[in-house]
Amino acid sequence: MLELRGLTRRFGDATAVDNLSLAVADGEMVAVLGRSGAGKSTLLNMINRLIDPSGGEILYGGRDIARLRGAELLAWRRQSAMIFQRFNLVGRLSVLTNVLTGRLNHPPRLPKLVGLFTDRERDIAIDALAALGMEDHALKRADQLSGGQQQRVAIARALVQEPRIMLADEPVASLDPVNAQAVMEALRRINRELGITVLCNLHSVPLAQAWCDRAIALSAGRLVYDGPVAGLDEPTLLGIYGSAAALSEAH
Amino acid sequence: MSATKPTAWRARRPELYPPRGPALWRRAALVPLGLGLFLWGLHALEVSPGQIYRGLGELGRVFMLMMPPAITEHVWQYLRAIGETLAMAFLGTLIASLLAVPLALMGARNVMPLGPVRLLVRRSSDVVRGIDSLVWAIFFVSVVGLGPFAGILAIAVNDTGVLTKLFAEAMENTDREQVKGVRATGAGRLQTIAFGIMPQALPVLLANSLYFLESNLRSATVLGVVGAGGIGFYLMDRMMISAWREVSLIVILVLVTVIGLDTLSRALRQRLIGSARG
Amino acid sequence: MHRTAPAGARAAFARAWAAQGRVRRRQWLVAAALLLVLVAAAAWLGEVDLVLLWDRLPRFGSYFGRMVPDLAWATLGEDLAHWYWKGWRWLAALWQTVLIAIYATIFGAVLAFGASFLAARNLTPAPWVGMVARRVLEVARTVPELVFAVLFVYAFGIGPLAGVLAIGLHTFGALGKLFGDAAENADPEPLRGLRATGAGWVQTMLYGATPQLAPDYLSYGLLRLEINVRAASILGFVGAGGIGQELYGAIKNFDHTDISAIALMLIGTVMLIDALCAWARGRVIGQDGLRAL
Repeated sequence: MLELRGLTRRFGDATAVDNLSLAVADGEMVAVLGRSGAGKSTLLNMINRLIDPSGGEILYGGRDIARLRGAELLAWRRQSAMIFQRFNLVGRLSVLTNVLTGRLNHPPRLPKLVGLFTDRERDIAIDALAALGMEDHALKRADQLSGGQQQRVAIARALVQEPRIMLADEPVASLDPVNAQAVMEALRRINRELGITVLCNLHSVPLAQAWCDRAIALSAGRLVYDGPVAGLDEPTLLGIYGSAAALSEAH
Repeated sequence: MSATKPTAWRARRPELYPPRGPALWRRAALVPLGLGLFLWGLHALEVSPGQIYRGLGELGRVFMLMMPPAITEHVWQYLRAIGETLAMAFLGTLIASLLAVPLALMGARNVMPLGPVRLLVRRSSDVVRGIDSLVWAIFFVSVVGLGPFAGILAIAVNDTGVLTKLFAEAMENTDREQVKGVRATGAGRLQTIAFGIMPQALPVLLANSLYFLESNLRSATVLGVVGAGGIGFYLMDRMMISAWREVSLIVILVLVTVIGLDTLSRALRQRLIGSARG
Repeated sequence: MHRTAPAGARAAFARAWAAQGRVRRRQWLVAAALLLVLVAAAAWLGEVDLVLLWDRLPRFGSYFGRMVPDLAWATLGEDLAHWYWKGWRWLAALWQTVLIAIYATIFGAVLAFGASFLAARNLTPAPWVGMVARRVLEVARTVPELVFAVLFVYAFGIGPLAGVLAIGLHTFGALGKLFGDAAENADPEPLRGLRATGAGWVQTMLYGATPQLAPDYLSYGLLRLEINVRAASILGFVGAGGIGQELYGAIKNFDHTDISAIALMLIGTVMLIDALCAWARGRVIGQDGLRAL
């Protein structure tokens, strides 16, 4: 179980995430909603610890993730994979190498410094690419792929980390509707078939309702909704988004 | 969606795996081959581990001898010599810049229509550039005698070669549309150069000159080795008599001067480039 | 349809225009005066003596004249052999010079590669590490090669090793700065992607930063190789190996035709290396990317 207690992040005078407390059971698929600037991205980055919290606790498996340092912190990042809006692949490396970078924090570590991965790790990486229908592109440069293809490679990279949690930060915001559906479907399958907990920042309410079980919503860094996606009726959404105009953007 | 169950990918997609058998050996053989080549080169350079070991020990000893830098009555001499060095770099660069402008005009494709003239200018600038300013300094010492004047001439000649090439390239890189615009007003050939090409190229030329002023200060610090004036003479002399604490003082003075001039010149360059863009 | 401005406005404009012109003229005058003072001071310090130069001008001609070898069509082969009487020895020394330049460039570039990640503000593992790295690089590139060379000849003995180390150390400083500046423009997104997988700092640099920066680094390294061949050609003056030793000897002994023979070989080599490096740089830049790992 992932539990946040009083999690806070301040940037100067601004508070991005404000005293947030909630619990996510293992194997849940949770949509994180809210207007842009509501603190969704900061929240996910804090769970992975790419951003350090200003206060509060992140509990997982009886440990406070917010206090991890050094090798333990890196090991946690391996267990909590991230998917980004801009894919964040290394453009000049091949698709296969990009996926293999998901294994950098798995032993043996030394040969990887000169680009040597074991055959078993290649098996795992190609398996992951095949699961997303990308194995035929394995030797292409990552920046030669379309956005939808790049995001699938990024998901494959996340998969080979063998994570417990997957944190997807606006994974479909840069994609066309067809690719968006394909990526959401892949995340759902990862959630169902591998039992990996998925937290997914979404700008679109219909996507959340189509693919997730539970939704949480942030407004100005505070939790304003936590419940099943079915409970997201018009008045609730108006409360989350503040105005009808902002809400219509999320549809 | 099973990320952990290994499948028989190697048999189906061998190109995604490192080679096996002879192909692997061929690839692995590159490592000792490269290493061998590297070591052979070191051998050709007469490098031995013992030499490195002894040298590092000696270097450490010298470094200890340098500390702390000695501030003696010679310091005024050194400061004057640094002033001389600055003067050499400044005048050398100035003369070279002034000489390089007409030469570059003769070497730029969009200014000089005569191919042979361009070729002559470009190739002779290559030759002049190919000879280090230290060699030029030896030459000029034999012409005008010992002292900073020989250094000035050495820097001026060597830099004329470098700057001619750079200036000509800067002129060739000017925007053709602007030049056309000037020509369209009915301007003659010289007017086109004066009002179409030069205003665009000038900030780049100045920035290059300033950059080479920095670089020439470094060259000027060593010209004294061959008697062409500046701080280099004292530096070499104090090293020869193993006055290490004075050597470190001179090195510090040189560092401060070079870093100071770099900072000044970088600020000026940024203003120039800024004004060219804005 | 021409509307004329009222006379008052026109007069005000003329006054403002004139005032601005006066300010600009004054600025120009101050700058010109400053330059003139600087030139005068530098000329005094630099012992500039134009009369002397004029008097000695004929020496240029005779100096170069003596450097021209006696070549006749009838005995061309013999004359050339006489001119290049130490040809093989010079060729060996020249080869050593090129080797010094190559090894110094490798030595300096490898160190600069590592240092650039420490020095770049966006990549450095800690701000104080970046600060220290930038200072070290600054010192390494500010001290002239020849000064390092004298020091290393003293410590390591006469020979090419001192040259390799001296040029290598200077290259470390110069390339470290260029590499670091290039690294500061690296795209941060792939780096974030890698850090999120649990990759450590070294792994992030190797897999995230290096692929982006490799073309820039290679291009700068090749440019530096060109510069280092020139630098290596004179280090022999202070006993640090290579053709410089031969050249210095020829100059000191007034062997004028030897000077021209060595200088021609040297210029040819420098041009050859420049052309090779330019070709290689063109390939690095032209190529769409490095083969994926």
